[in-house]
Amino acid sequence: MELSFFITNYPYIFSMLLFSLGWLIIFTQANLIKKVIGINIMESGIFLFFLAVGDIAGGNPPIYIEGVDQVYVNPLPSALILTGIVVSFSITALALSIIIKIYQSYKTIYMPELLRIME
Amino acid sequence: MMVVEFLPFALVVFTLVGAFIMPFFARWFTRGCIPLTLGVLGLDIFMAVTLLMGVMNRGPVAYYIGGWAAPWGIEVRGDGIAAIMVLLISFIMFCTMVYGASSIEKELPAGRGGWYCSLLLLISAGMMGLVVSGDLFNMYVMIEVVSLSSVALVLAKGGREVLPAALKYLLLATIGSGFILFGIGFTYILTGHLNIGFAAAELMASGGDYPYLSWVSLTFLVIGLGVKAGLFPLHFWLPDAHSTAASTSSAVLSGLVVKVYAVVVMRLFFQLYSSELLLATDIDRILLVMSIAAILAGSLFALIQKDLKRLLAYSTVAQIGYIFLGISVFSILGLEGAIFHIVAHALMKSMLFLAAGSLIARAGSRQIEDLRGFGRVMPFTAGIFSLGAFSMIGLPLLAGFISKYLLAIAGWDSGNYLVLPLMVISGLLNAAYYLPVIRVLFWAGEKELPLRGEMEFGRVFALGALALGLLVMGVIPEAGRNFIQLAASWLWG
Repeated sequence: MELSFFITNYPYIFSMLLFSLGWLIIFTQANLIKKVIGINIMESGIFLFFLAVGDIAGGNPPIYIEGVDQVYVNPLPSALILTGIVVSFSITALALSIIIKIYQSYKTIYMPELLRIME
Repeated sequence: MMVVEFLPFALVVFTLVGAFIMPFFARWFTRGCIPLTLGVLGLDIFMAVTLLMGVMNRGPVAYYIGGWAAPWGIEVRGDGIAAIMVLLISFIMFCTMVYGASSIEKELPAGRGGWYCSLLLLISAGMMGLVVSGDLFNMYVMIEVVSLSSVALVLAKGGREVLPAALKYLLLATIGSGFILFGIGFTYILTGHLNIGFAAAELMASGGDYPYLSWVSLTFLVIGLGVKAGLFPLHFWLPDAHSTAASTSSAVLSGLVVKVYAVVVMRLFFQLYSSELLLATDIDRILLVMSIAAILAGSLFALIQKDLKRLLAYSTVAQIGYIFLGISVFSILGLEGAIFHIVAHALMKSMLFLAAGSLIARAGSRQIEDLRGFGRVMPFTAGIFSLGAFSMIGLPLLAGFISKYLLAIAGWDSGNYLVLPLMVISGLLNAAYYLPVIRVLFWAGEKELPLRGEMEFGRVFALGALALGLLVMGVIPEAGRNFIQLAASWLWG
């Protein structure tokens, strides 16, 4: 592996890092809100990955102009990620509303304390 | 005929429309909710039967949404497995809803009945969309529809006990979908297509040039779907979520939701990746080990449970192992066994959860010890429970026996001689945790029992319909096996 490998592929490496960081946060953090933040970091990693897949160096936005010959970036991954963002938004909303309910009925959002109360 | 091609798409859209108009009924005309749900699901069964007959006579069909042809448009597939799964989903959903007509109002907080009906239709539409989808991204969207609505199904019961279980389920389901989306992204880099047929052709042509990339995409997809399906080391969300939910929710989650992900795994393995590519990665060995571990560990965990619904949930962990075992032996017969087990287990597990729901509602406790003697109080319900348990153990003349037999033969044929003794051992383990429950149900001892009496007619009728399905599958397996054989051979390609 040379340095150039890392330089040319940096968006992919970065997105993998974000993704791994995200689910590491979900598994290791005791605070439920931080777990939700972890979900969002993980999803951002995926979005970055898809945008990097569709990008072409020097490409223009994919808007067709009559008679102009130009290089476009691939619009499909961006369109997919639009759906992905909506999904991630609804997951976050559902998770936060469950956490509000948990706080109302257990009076805590810390996982160890929650487990202790549930015993 | 044009109609059959249109049916898979029509089924999904029709159910989805039903789910979307349900909130209006829930708000202003609550009494209409349950009849409307039953009507939508009944029509679904009718359409699914038409689809199954049409597909079996004419071969697989495909429909392109909006008339845009394959690489650009979204393909909806009506092949054998899709037709079988759609019929199974609408049948189980219908029976659950007939049962739910009398149980929903009692188990859920007041005023949630209509919204719950909407949720059940939404999850049916999602599962149907998932099994008929021929497009990777469409699959991802349907997976999200199914997993979000299944979390909501767990939550619907209310009370503080379900909240941590639902959050755990949501977090792990999200990690699973993250892995799946990443896997789809890698497949897209590799092939430039999202349509399964075109991506498969591209993988066939150039997959060998980028072995690492295709392995990575396969790994991500298998981990993601494994989390969602509750395959053994990734199963830890399953017992909590499935045991705390309301009995109708548990029946749907345990009987259907974990199965549709196994169907997606089948589609990806046999329609997207070529078998050389798969065998080069040793994924079949890995899945074999995982599924054997699932069968043994699920049964052993079930042995030590004191809570009836947790016992049933751990039994699901073991049964998912059977389905993945069928996939991992890599033969048509194994695939046939896996599909047969999906159908058989969906019937028996929803039956067991619904029967357990009735018993628990009467006894007022989920602990097995508190159910002592309730077989005398509700002989029919307890009899149905025993029938399901015997089928789980694999007694002949019941569907569970046929699927175990098929899997054992498939394992023997493909040189995995361990599968046959494994089936015997797992049957004994199943007997070891189901038979004590039946004993507790029927041998009351000195205990004072409430008056004898079954639950409402709807609950009894739903259990009877499911039991009839199980008996038909077991006594005359050829009736269903012809379809399943054909579906397996089409999937194999």
